[in-house]
Amino acid sequence: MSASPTSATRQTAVPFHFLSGPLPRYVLRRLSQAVLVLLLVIVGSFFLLKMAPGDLVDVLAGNSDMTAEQMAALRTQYGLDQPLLVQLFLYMKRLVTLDFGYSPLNAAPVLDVIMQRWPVTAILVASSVVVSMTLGALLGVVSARNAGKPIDLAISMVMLLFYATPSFVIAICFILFFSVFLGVMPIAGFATVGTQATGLAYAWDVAKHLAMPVAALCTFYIAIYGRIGRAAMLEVLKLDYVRTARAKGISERRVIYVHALRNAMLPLVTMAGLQVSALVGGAVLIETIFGLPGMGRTAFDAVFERDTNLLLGVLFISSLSVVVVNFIIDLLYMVLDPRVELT
Amino acid sequence: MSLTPAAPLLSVENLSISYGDAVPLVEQVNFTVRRGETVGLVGESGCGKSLTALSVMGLLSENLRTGGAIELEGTNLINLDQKALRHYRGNRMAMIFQEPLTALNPVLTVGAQVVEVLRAHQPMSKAEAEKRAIELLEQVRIPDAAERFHDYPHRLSGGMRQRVVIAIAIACNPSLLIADEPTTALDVTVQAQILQLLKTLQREADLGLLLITHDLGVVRQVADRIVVMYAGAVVEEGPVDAVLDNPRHPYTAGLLAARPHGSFSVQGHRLLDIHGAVPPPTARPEGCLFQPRCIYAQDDCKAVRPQFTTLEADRAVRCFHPVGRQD
Repeated sequence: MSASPTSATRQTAVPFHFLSGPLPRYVLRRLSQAVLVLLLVIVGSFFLLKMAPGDLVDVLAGNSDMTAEQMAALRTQYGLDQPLLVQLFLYMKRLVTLDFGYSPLNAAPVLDVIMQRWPVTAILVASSVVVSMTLGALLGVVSARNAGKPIDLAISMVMLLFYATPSFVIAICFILFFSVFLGVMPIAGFATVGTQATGLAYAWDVAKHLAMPVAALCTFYIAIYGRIGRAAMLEVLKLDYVRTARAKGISERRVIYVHALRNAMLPLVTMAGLQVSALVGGAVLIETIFGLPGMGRTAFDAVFERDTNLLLGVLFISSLSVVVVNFIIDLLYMVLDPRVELT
Repeated sequence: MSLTPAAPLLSVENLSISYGDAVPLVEQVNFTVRRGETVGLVGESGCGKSLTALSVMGLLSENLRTGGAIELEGTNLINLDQKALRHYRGNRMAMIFQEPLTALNPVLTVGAQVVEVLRAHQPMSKAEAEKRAIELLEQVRIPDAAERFHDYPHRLSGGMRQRVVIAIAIACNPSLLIADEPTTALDVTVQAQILQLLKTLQREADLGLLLITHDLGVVRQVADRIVVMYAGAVVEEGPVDAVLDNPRHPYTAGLLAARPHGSFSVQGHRLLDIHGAVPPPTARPEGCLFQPRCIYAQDDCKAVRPQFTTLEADRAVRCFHPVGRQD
């Protein structure tokens, strides 16, 4: 690490005075942490992948007849004959220029492959976070306001079902019911194959394709958000400032949604961070079932084909996404709760 | 206003609050608050003071039932549903709470919380409401009100936050102000300032003030009349000086004797206390509520519950054998 600018800014007269506000200092600190995390991810996953038996050439050789000489030549071509540390050094050197290497599996540069796949996962994850958080929070509010009544019980039971049913089971049920039985939803893919649609028509096509995968990814998290939201609302509704709000004579809806829910959102936002982290790499099953060309499935395929470059690239971009999302979540905390200050 | 000058602003008649059908928490509570008058509602913790105040505001939790009548400017609030009640809350009557540190929403600015109550009851544009809110913050003596307007509550001290709560309470010019232990959580010096502020605001707006406290010193300073509660019932009522100088109910007398006073510290007198504790609502005694702790209790006290009876002009007591002088 270079000399830390953060410590320099603590003094008054410093060359980095423009970095001395709480926000720039905070961003710098978080940035250095992020670099460290990403570095660990790269080095860690690099060695982990190299420890696994077999490499790309073994896989290629398995698919075609190849002599030992040809295999050795290929290994030299991909740099696989070099000592591990040299390979790592070369990989990192290329990474600095955003060169993630070449993916033999896709016959394209890794970056191109990821750039193609990343948006699919991003849309999938973002939609399911928004949908599950909104529905979960609403269900939480309704059950907290009716705590102990039949409707609370009914919601609890539905949420228990959501919680306990694996998403892939739900996905398959959706396909059977909506696509096979009713025939109203597309079974798989990100958009209709060969579609020429643009603009809104294309967006509608994509939305139809994503509806079932998003719903399948949501159910579990709706239950989680619902439980957390219910507990948080019950906690907040007992607090003095909610009584103050009621004493003002404002509508009950304002009391609930402006005064109480805003305070009860904090634990939900924490959960959103965890959900993004889990889904960015963990949507493999859903992406596979619905034939979505996302990051999870790309990683899955890369593992089987020993496409180390691609896998490392996916891991790097996924962890970068998680780091960025966590940073956004922390900033969101400050927006939601003014008592949270930059440290 | 169609009210005759003699008609009270707030009249609580035979108020009862019970948990379900079984356990009465508050019974047979009667008192009135007139315009421009300060009534001190006193009693030990758990005697039903705050419940009484919350029931006037209609803020009791849903599992509590109220009976009797609570009339504000001639309207019985008990029969109103929550929607109709909202018109009175924060508008015709307002409440100040005990804990200024938790009474304000931590995620909304002080200004937004004042603006909210203004716009809930008055047709005001956002800009007008903001201007009025800053005036209100100035009126409760918050320095640099225009800047504090944008602050979040955690930036303000307890005393300042209580001023904000007061500003919210007086925002719509209510005729009744209920203050539930408004100074209990504050430093002594701040206490005096807040009481002073309440008195000034009351005088300026001719407010009826219902001050709930367990501090008889505060009552003596601020109140015109005093209502003493014990175990969910009113046991004595009258003008402050008359009651405190010559308490007629043994409980009031006991409360007064239990206060540390001059000779206590100088001459090392023993502090008198009232033997025992307030009975919980589930274990209230037969006969007089105070009888198990009363040193004057006789056989009739144990058998029958005494009625609230007028002694003289404006004094009443719930006791068969009043103590003190008969004026």
